Amino acid sequence: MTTTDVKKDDRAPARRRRGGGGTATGASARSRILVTAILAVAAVYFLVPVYWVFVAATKTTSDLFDSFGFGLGEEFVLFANVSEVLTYNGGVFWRWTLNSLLYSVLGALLATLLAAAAGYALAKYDFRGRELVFGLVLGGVLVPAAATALPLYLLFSQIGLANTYWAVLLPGLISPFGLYLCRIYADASVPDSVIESARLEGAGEGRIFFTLGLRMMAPALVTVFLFQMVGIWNNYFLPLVMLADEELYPITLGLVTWQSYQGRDIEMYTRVVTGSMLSVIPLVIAIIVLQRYWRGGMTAGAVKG
Amino acid sequence: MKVPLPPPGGMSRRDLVRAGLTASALGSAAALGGCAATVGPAEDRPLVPPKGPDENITLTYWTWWPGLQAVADIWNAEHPDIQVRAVTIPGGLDGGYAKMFNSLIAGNQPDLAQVEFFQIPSFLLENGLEDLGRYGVTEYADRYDEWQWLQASYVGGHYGVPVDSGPMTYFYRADKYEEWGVDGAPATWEEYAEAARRVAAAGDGAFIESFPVGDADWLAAMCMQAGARWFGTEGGEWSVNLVDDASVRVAEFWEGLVREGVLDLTRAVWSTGWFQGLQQGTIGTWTVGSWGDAIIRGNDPDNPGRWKAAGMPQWGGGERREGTWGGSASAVLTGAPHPHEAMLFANWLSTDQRAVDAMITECGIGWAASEELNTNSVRNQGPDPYFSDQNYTSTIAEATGYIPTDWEWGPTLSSTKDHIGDAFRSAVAEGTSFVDALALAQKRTVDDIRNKGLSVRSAS
Amino acid sequence: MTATTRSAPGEESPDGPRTATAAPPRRRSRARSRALVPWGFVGPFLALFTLCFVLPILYAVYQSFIQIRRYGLFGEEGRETVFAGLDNYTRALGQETFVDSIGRVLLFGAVQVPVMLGLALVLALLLESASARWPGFFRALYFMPYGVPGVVASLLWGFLYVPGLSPILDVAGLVGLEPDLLGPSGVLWSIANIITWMFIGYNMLILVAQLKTIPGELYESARIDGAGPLQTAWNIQLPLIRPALVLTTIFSIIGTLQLFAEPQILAAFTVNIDSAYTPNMAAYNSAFTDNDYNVAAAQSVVVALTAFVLSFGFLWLVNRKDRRR
Repeated sequence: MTTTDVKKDDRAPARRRRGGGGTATGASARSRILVTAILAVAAVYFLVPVYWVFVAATKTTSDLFDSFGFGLGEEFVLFANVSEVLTYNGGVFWRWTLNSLLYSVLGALLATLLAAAAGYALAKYDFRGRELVFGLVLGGVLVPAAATALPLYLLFSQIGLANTYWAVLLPGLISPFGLYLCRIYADASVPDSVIESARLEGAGEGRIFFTLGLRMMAPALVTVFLFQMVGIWNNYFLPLVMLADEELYPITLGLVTWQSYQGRDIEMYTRVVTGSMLSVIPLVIAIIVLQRYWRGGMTAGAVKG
Repeated sequence: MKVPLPPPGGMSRRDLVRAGLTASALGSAAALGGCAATVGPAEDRPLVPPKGPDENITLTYWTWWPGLQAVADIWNAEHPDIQVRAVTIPGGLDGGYAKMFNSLIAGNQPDLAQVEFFQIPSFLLENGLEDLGRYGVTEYADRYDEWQWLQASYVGGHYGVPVDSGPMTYFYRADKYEEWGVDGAPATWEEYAEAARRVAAAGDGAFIESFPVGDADWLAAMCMQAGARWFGTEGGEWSVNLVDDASVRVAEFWEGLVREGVLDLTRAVWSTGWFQGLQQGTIGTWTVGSWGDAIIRGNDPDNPGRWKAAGMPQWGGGERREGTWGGSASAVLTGAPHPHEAMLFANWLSTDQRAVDAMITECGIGWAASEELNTNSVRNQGPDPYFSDQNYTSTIAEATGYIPTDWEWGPTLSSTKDHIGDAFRSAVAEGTSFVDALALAQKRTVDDIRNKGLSVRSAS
Repeated sequence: MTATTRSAPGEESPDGPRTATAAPPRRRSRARSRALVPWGFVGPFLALFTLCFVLPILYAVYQSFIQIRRYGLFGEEGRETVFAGLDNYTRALGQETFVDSIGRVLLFGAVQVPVMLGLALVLALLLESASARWPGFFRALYFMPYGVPGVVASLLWGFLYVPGLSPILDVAGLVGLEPDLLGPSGVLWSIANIITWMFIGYNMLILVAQLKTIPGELYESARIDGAGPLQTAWNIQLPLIRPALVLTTIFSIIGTLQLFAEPQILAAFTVNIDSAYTPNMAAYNSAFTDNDYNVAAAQSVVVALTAFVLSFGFLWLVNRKDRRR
């Protein structure tokens, strides 16, 4: 596994359209229309379920079942549905949203810091056991969640952490992929000479990392953070195993709980649909806004054959 | 763990080393492993004394009914020293039991948990339930219907307080039946088959019922009604017989209807499409435990007067038989801190008329713990407009007299259900014999029980 | 940094030439503390990694080699934990449903991974081609589903698969199509669609990022050689983004083997997803429903080993090809 030259990638806004620019001049009007048409068709595919849920969230339960899915129903009750979701069962949906935010944002922040520190050390210090640590952590990527979830539950139960915020937060602090990315990136983008001269000026190792290392690794860190945040936000398996108390649920688990009551209470359908819509909004916005920062260091993660 | 552990026999250090464990891992793993072996026999455990008179305690009750807290609040108002907190968890096999088993291992178990009757033996296998007989529950036995009370009794112990049951009931769309020219609920399965053919032939895409492909609860209820007895515990060992005459008869009957194409196979019972079909009347029937009433009503609350309830069609041959589907008990998990008070609350919950009424309205429970409680309940206040002005409590009450009391559940029922589900799904998909599917499920069940380290035989 | 903070991990003292002038004994201890510096950085990560990965895995391996024996109807006459050798593995692999589930995800992966990556590649190339209008807009839009949790995506698509509810099926019905998206053979591909929908954009973004690192001169010289867009893609772009393709393939293989939430949620819409539909579901079911932690542990180990073999097998294959070239 080696790296591609990441530094060049992440600087140089002037090169941003380079890939396109290279082949640009030859583009004919016909190929322009053809390509854009293909892109538009793909866009429809990606939009369909999202469009559906936004339409469905405006409907009464009976319209949900009886009216055409892509059109509006007889009544437009979006606001009633939203307020029902937000107030149902003592406003527990708010609680779930806050929990999800806590797990994902705080978890991803700390995970990024941990991965950055460890990746930096693996890249910049030559010490015994370095490759062992690296190999061990990479192996962790391959272990299926089901293999660790139950033993982890037992372990956490022993130390009184099961069914607490910690149970979901702590495992989220570990991002083997983040560590990998940080190591590769630090290797390529934090020059030894810079560290050496900082040492000559009398800076401590910790200070060098926090002031120089972190800054120079920033593009990769953004990627790791976003990656981990989405990962935790979308996680379902771990909270499913760890949490018994509804108060601690993230949105995903909460929605599934609602879904399982659908049989007993027909109104649950609209709650699940509207809740799904609401849960999609924050991260989709975040994704669309942040995707431009995403690729920082992403290519560094490439595995070269 | 609060109880002495059995010696970890048979496992030598060398075995472990051979298993590739390092010495340091051994320490932590063995500590956890000892805990996973759970507990010794219930009778060996010391009795937990009742709480002191000045002590205030809070009991936790794990249930999948979101409305149970409202019921517990009635009790809480009268018992400031024993408060009950209901925690909603996923339904039993949807993750609820997993949480309970996990909590037993972890030692953070709730005082009370809602456990379906069929699951009680599986809990006993893990030493998961307190014998409430030791805390005096038998004193209240006469408040319960015998056929319900016995569903929580095993090997001389009493492991739960029945909350509700599900005598099989035939719910049907009376309005649609009229349109299709079917004369009310069929009295025999023969007539049911005729009606199914007639509905399918009507050509409006409707079916008399969705065939519950792979639904083992349904199949068990059907076989129970036909006179089957799947599990036995005679002679100190398990016997399994999924292919007795009665079960074969049931399997062949439904296989015939499925092959004829007169049952709906695409809209699976409980699926979104099925709920929609019930509303629209393109599925005309649901044969299910009596608790189906709340689900039917909840699925389509704004259209009263369409549904009716009747007893199950009979197999003919004179003798009337009925079956049950589902039902649950309040159980006290092993090691829970206040078994005595938990038992008192459980008994109150099941037998106080206010609690029963609140459970009917808040939780949609099925048949309450005794006929008297049901007869006096809110559900039985004259004709019910939703069910076409019918008074269906008496219909169900009549049926309960014919429910067998000797039915027992096996000790690995969740996997038995999976086996039945798998075998029937592929039998339907590939057009193979339903009886063979039962035989396959039996073989796998016997293997499971043997794999739990128990002695077992095939009774057929 | 002052001396008082020296003991804190990652806060080691200044060094360099000034250290070199220090007295020999001091230098020795300084060198030792110097060796501890990287561990200070790696330590917190490693500690949590040990807690959340290593210990649970060792415990699972241990569990996969033991069994519980019972006496009496329920074990009320006694029970013991015994060493089981490979018995749990024999049992796990003897379960038809478990073996089927592995076969199912392998089939799934063999079809879905190439399709998804192929589409991601096509979209990436199109977006980076000169012919694309509004590439930033489309890129953001394609990436959006990645932010939709698998649970929610499955709920949404689930509604779009149900006959009578799905507007897509309504439209398909107008032209005489009645696909059984939730039927015994269709449902696997319905799940594949959900996964594809969620991850095309994600994989595309990785590929786009690497495409952007290709120096413009290469395109220039290709153009001078008279290469069309297709030749450019084949001869220049594809070989140069191979590392990214390898990475996304490996991630996709691992992800496929770990399928859980999507089929689990979709099971509420159809009977054709059983409790052991994927290996992960089978292991979850063994552990949490059947209470057989030992078989569940064995199943998990089998899944992990399969993931290892497939990922490294794939890497080996790719490397071998390289060497031959």
